[in-house]
Amino acid sequence: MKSSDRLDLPVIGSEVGSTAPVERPWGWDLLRFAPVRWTITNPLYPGVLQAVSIAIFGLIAYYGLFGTIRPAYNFSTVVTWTLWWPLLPLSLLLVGRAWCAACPIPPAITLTQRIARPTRLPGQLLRRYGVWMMAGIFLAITWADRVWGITGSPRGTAYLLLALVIGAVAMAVFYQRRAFCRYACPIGALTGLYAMTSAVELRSRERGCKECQQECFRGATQADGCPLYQYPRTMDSNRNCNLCGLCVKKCPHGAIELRARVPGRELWLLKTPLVAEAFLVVLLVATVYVQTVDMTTAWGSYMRWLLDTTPISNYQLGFTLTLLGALALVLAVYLVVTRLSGGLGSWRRNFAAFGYAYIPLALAVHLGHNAGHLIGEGPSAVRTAIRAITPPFDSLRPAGSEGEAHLNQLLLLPIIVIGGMASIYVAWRISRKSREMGYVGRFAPHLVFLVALTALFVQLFLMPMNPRHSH
Amino acid sequence: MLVKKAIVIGLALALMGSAGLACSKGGDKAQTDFPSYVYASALSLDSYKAAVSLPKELTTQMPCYCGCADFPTPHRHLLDCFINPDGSYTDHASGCDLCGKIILDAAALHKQGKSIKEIRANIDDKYSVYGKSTDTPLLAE
Repeated sequence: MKSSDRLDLPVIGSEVGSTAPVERPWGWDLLRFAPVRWTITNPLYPGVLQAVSIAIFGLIAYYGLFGTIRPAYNFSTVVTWTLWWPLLPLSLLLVGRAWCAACPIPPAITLTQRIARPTRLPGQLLRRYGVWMMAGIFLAITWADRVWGITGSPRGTAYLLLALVIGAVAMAVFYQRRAFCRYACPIGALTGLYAMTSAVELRSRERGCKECQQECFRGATQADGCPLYQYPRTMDSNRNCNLCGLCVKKCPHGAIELRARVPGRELWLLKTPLVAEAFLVVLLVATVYVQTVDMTTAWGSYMRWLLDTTPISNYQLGFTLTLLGALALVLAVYLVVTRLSGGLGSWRRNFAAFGYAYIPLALAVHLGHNAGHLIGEGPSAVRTAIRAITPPFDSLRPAGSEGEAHLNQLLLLPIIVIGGMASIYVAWRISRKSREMGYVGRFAPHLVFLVALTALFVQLFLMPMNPRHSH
Repeated sequence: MLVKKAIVIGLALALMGSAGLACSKGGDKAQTDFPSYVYASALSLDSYKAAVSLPKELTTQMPCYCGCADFPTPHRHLLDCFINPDGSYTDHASGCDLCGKIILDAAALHKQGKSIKEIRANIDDKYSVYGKSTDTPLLAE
């Protein structure tokens, strides 16, 4: 959208739509440091990052479609699942959704919009059900990965990434800005929630916004409006901020700050908890559990019991029911826990508010699970990727010529425990927000559930884990 | 309202399960007493089933290109990736996609009525690009 195409837009900002400024939490403004400010306000940011990611994406698509079918030796699978996927949650913890600023998909969106020139903004349907849609897509991809083997298939990897691009382009034909990123991207669903634990946040200073014309949201002569439809003045969460820096560049009052903060501080300060996002967190917990079990030796024992003992004889069906069953179980227990917890005005708000407390644990398990793969298989993945793109462009190598690093799973346990403790702390802070009943009574059910989940994940990490890609 | 949403979600989950059921192929309930590692993935399970159901005359004349020829005790043929010489199962193929794909290709061709010689030629043609094969002589005419 050109900055000259200013529209009479209602202030969207957070989901509630309130124009009341949010609480100003403590934190250091990193934009005071010249290198940070220079980077964020540089016209080449994030274009340079996007150019690099586009090049890598092109290689992933090429090798995925035409390279070797062996996942451990194909550029697309090793770069996507052994390197990028494990590093993504780490980046979310450190710098929020900064990956989204470097993502190769937005340039495709921009190019499409220059041709199609859409005038529509996301309507009620997307704004109300967008998160549900992202949750459904995320679940579908998780299922498809196991049933059709996306992470173990170079072609599957290429098809998935190309499908995301096609979806983004399709939405860009109809909607302004990045409707796909905000309401449909399954990776965005994950990054949005995990980014809430980040050690940085982008917010506005109250005094700088008093006489503004909302250039950060509507656009100005030097830059477009926020691509994710955010209004920094009322923004209280990282979930829809991709740190693209557009608002920093065009704010004439210098009111935007990029603050270092206590990681995850917004989880208990959030003014607009969403039921859909709480459900997505439950989905994340269930899927990381199934995906972690899947890679341990316990999975084979479980599937043998399932297929040999029950009427289920089809492997794919067994996995499908297991995944859905895990989701249903975690959801059911969480519903009971929120019912017991009470408080915060209503069961619905309780369900939504406490959901965010489980994000640190889900992130920790995701980190721990993938750290094992990254450390154990990462060096080999880097060598494979380099061989694929340097003469003689042959990533295949004789088996046994290079050893893999072996990571002691016990070293990952502190990550899980810290994640569990962080979730417990967030639940405690959330429980103290309401004065309707004693906060110990509100906190206790979640404490029990979180301790149980943490113990469950610790037990999983005590088991030997299989490599992501076989040789 | 939340109860209604829970019902909708439950129905959606049930529908997805039904879709999975509709898409599923019938499984084989034959008691093969596989170790648990065989159940690591659908490919692993299907490939071990193929290994025990295909004639030994076929599987012992098929090579493997996964690199097992360079093991301290080199594999002699494709069957060695699934079953040890003493008849016990080995977990090698449960973690090796290539072994699984080769044997499933061989099984599909066998089902089409191809001869051992034809199956061997097909496997060599398709998988020789992946590396060194086991030293597997072809005895069939």
